[in-house]
Amino acid sequence: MTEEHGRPHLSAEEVQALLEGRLPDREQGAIRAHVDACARCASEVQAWQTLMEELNELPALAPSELFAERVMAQAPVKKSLLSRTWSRLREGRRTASGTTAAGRHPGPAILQEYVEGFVSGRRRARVEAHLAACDACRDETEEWDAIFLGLSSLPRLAPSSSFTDEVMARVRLPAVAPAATEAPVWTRALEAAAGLLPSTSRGWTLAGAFAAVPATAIVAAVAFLLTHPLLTVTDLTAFVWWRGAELLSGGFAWAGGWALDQAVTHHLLGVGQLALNAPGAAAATLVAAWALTAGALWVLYRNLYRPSDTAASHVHA
Amino acid sequence: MDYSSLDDRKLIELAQEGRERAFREILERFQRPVFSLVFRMIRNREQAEDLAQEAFVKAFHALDSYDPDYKFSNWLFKIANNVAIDHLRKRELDTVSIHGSEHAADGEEEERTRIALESGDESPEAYAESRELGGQIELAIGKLRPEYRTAVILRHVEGYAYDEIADVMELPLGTVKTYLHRARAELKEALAPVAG
Repeated sequence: MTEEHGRPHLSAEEVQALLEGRLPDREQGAIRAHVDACARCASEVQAWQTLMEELNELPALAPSELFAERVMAQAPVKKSLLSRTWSRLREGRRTASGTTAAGRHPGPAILQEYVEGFVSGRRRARVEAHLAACDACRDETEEWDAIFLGLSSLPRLAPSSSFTDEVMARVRLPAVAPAATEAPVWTRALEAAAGLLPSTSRGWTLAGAFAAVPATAIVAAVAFLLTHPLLTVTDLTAFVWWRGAELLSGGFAWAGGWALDQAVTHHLLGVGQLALNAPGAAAATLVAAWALTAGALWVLYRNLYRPSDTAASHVHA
Repeated sequence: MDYSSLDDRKLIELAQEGRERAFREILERFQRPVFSLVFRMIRNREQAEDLAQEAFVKAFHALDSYDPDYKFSNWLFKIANNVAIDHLRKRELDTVSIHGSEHAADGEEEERTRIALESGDESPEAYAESRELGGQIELAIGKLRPEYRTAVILRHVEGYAYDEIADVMELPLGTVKTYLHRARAELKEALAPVAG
């Protein structure tokens, strides 16, 4: 460093201190006098002044909107209960809406749901509005599309051709009765009839005895006809026909007389007369009687016939 | 009777009665989905065949405990997934021995056992598998956590709804959603260099 005009040339620190007004009062006068007298130091001061003015005019640059949020998410801040609750509420609202606010990026979960077609209505409109304006999110959506396309084209893979037989070889099948559900009707009828046949000699003897009762009667009738040559089959038929008709007509006549003598017949005839006089009431009574009968039959059916008895054996809870 | 035209419910009823043709029809219907799941979980064809068979045999022997109100394929996938996960857990324990048998008498024996275990992956079958599951996306799926793998396969190969996956995996619906979102994010990251 050379000396000129009574003091050395200014150092860079002294020039910056001079321009920023940080020089002690006792030095300031001497340094200013030197700058006024020294062309070299005056030029140096001018250059520093220009640089500092440019630095002071640099604009303040803003971070992205998510900057503070991202930093705060990682900050070890102890939040109050009220603050935590409020954050959860805001988070819930944001998740539900799909986007946090205008201009904010939908998260990857929402973009995946959008690609899968799970985002609809106003939420979908908001996502699409954002995608129309945001190149980054549009690119990301295309990437998700590619992932979904790749996944949807994954094939099912086949095991070896012996797979079924190998499994069946390891399965202990229970003993199965003849397939009632698979056999035709006539086979099942024959099987049912076969079930009625006696299986022991005592059973066969009893069955023979029962079968002999009508056979004995028939044999006796034939023997009677053969031992009475004057009695022809035509005469016998005519006698049976005449006697039978007489019995039937007598029976009907007796039944009709008995029925007319009964009190209930008089009641029924009275009801019939009422029905003729008031057909509407009679029809309503008939409908009610029919409904009651149907209900009673249904109750009987439910109590006497239980389909669960047959089906329950196949159904396991 | 044409078993192929029966619905699952009727088919299961007949299988519960012990009808062999019903069992065979169940195998015909479900062997590919079940094997696909197990193979992609295990990534070893031979073991996957054994485990898929084990799943079917378990299911057939437990048909009496099957609730017909429950979707049969869900029940079957649940069994198959549990079989695969159990196998992976055992294999994870076994991988400890890849570093050499703990019973090895000396360093040489330890080295020998280590090599024997590792060389198993170099069989011709393994080579064929590497081609079968060798696509970029299959490789990426193979690197996912087993739970993520199950969710991805059920969702994208079988087309299961989220709630059905939750049913099969016995997880809350929200957890399944998270699994799928994270799994796809991992796939996207893994496939990004390929796509680029």
